[in-house]
Amino acid sequence: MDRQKRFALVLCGLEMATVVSLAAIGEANLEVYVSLIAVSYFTTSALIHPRRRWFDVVGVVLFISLGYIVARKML
Amino acid sequence: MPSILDLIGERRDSGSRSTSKIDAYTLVGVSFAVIGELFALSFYLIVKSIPLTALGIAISVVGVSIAMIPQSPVPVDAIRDMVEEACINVELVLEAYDASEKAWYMPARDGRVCCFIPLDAEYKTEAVWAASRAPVELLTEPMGTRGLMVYPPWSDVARLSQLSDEDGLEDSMAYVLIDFLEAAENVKVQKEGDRIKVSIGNPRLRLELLRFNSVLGSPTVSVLGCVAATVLKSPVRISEEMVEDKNLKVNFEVLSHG
Repeated sequence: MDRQKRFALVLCGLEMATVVSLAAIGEANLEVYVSLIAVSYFTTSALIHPRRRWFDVVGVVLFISLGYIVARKML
Repeated sequence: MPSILDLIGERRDSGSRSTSKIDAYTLVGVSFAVIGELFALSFYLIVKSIPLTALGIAISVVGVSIAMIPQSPVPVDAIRDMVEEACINVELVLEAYDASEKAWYMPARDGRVCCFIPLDAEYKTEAVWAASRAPVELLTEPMGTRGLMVYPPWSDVARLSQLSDEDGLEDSMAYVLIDFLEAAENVKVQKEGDRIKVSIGNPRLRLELLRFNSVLGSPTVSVLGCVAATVLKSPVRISEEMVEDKNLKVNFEVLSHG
């Protein structure tokens, strides 16, 4: 299996596991979900290094979301 | 003998590369992204369920990530064309000298694997070992055996992929072909004495150069020849190559120390 397919499969599995696990423990804060989705995305990207046809749009959007969530908590 | 322009022309004419069509990754990715967004919005605004909203966001993230995957990661068309045209030079040399014997992939010297192609049908294996130590010249004659020495376009693939001496044959072949070049989906290796049987799943490098393919092997197999010669530190040649469905089955012959 090539790196791109591995990335898509691992990301899908990790994101679904994150959402299902948080839902199972009764988490009701969307910020927690978004933060952990971002963490699982960055972890998968860092471990597998997939090739992309453009720059990492998802990573930028998730990074901005994560920054916004952290800034809101701190301020 | 075909001219170089004929060969390049044939490649250009037969190259039906389509970049305007929407590929499978884009289609699946965009579908996931749109469904995920609709899912998230409807569950956030109508049902007001945070876990299901998060599920929608996660589906969108996965969808956009899939849409960003290039259909043909490596080699890209330009690189593939350059490699093909480098192979045409080798093809022309093989045609010019009417080379038809299978090439021996020599152990790497300065990180590069050179191929020795005997021009005589009958030759001693000692001549192959002598060729591995002889200076690299296009036309050479180690121990009285006339032969050609050519560098395949991927002669330094083992050095570029930074294979280490501790890596086994199967790990090295799989790493170079699957992870480094992304030229196949899987590689299985079975070593029996001086024979190596390799099965390559869904190889992506293809060339229509008949002489090149019959002497040096198809590009994917030739890459493995370079890896095998580097890892085993012995001359290696492709004794048989067969296509089975989407897989390539290859038998390598390793020259034991004489």
